[in-house]
Amino acid sequence: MAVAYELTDLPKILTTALAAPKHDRAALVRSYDETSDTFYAHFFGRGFSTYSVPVSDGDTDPLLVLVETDSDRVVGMQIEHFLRSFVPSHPRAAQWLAGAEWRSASRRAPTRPTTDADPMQQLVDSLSDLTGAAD
Amino acid sequence: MIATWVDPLDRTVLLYEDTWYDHVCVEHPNLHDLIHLVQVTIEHPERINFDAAFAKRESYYRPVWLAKRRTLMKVSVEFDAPDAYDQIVGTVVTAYPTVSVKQGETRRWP
Repeated sequence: MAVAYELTDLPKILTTALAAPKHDRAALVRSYDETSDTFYAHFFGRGFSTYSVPVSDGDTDPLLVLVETDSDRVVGMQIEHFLRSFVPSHPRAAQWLAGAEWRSASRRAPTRPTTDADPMQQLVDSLSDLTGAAD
Repeated sequence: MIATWVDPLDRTVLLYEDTWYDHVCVEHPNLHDLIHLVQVTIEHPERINFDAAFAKRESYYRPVWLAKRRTLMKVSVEFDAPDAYDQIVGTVVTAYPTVSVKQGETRRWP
């Protein structure tokens, strides 16, 4: 079982996700839960049995990766305090909400993606803010 | 509401249908038949922490077995101010299996 990841592991994790065939990448599901203020990205769709492993930047755990229990493969990510803490620190992450399923605190109405851009690429590009990779 | 539990600090904790079925079971489908892990984590936590970002939110942790793995159940609960009868009621906002306590949280109990 993976015990923890460091932020420096993130590029490798995301590179693996991007290396998936296009038809697998199309299965990316993004969602935001307003009640808990949590953003999810399921790289290959939902339905995997997972546990969440923190990704540390040294002092905090800005995000968690979803690791499949059977294979220990990273199949998604989970970001708590998304609007409270993560987006103010990483403003480009706000664009992930475009087209994401949004479960409001009062009524949960899923929305459909409204862009033709590759959402997985968009996600990876934005995470360069976190990993320190060049734009 | 689908469940009401009492934590070690004698506070009532509620779990609503939409939180469980539309959030937890959707994002973490392996918990679908394991609501008892949420219950035991609320009623018998190993520790309770103050959330790192939300003042009214607390995190409950308890080691559990999940798919033959020893893991750590985390349940986040948001508390209202005490009511007219000084009762404190909290609501589960999320729950998921993890491997460690989140950095940045501070200990609340024990």
